Amino acid sequence: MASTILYSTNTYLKLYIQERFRHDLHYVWCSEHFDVNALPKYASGRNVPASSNPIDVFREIKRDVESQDQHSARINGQKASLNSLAVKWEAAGDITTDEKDEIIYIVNNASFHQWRPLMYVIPRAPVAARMKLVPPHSRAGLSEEYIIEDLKRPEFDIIEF
Amino acid sequence: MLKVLRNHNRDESQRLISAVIQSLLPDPGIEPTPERTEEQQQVLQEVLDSLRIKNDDKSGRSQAQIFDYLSNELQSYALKGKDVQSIKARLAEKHSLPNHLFEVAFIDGETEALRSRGIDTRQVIETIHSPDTFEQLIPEAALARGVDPVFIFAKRYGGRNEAHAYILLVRTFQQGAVQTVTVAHAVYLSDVPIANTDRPLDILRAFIDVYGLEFSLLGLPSTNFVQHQMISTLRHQPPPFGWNSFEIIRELFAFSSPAYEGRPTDHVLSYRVGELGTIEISVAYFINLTKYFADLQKHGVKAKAHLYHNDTGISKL
Repeated sequence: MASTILYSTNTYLKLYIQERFRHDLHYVWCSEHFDVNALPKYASGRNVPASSNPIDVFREIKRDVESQDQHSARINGQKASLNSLAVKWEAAGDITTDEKDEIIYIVNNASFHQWRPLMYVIPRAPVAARMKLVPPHSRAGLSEEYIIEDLKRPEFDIIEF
Repeated sequence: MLKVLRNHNRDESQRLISAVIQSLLPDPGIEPTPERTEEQQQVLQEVLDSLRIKNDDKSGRSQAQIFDYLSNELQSYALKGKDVQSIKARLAEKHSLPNHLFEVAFIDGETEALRSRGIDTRQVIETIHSPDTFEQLIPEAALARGVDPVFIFAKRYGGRNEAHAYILLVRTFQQGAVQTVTVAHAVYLSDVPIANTDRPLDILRAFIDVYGLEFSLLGLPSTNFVQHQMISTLRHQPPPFGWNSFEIIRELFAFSSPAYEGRPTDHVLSYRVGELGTIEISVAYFINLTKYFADLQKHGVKAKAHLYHNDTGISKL
């Protein structure tokens, strides 16, 4: 049976930029399980590597933020991604050149605190029609993962721990 | 700057680097993904060569280095020749500039006043840049009229030693990307009972309840704190236009106890003189420095008497 809740780990800065510059529409990659290690041993969803398990991703980012790890693959990847997206959004006419510059300035001068992880908790029913299944070849494991490209802020809650 | 991009303009260079980054990130596979072009491959190869990373090295550390390098390159192309100060000012205007990117300034005499009561300006800057909590005091409607935002930042110092632990409260007004410090007080937890709150305004109110002086404003009931109040001064002569802060305090405020007159106080007043003889008071309170300094001395802080009469917190909105 499909889970009624979806989970997605994101950074605070990503949330902030999408809120301020993307009309509060949020692009998320989400999973049906908060922690696959809590599933029964032979459950199909259990076969997920740490790189796709929301709680493991959360812990990895949190560890990197707390240790202020300049060589964090997660944080540096997120930084590069937001830089890249700013250029892409400007090219598509979604944001102005000034806004692109502002995003790039914020992202490249962010404090570690701004890269802290957030867990999005997303009730499935209101977004079910907009969930896009990630094809098996793009997933890290066998468990189903989804993309929601236009998640609205009232459609999810955020927890920090 | 990357050599392979030397014949590309700024926009082309940014787009090429952006495409390289996208090609390295996990792809959800929802839409067809274009293959990396030869030019994009050349960009990536130059980055790998610069970092001395082998093409088949997919380790997290190497990936982190590559992403960091590409981010820096992209930033260089995007912001080259741009006025960073104006970018910061725009972000500040939109309330999107993170605290740690504000410049910090002090009103005249404030650094000396801080030193005289044992507060290190570096702590003040740290409190603004990485506060435990902070709060903006001016209502939205007033901000919309062009009133500068006024902030209180709070940060706890002193570790677990409750006897000498304190919360540093720093009050500023913001203009563009600059936070200007008008006053700061160390609120010692052993002297000021603070209920379960980390809200700066609540901490300030608790501090004022201990050290604040009762005053009345234009004969209104006495209080120790005024926050955002419009008052008419039509019946006062001369009109308030041109009055300075000291004149406003002298004309409009009266201490409830005459004993306070002429005693050392911190006058904390933010105001704006409006049309039609009104004065918009943002925040007003008076700190009894005799009492405050006596408590500071219990914590080993040697306040300097010659600065007692320095009025540190007066600013126009």
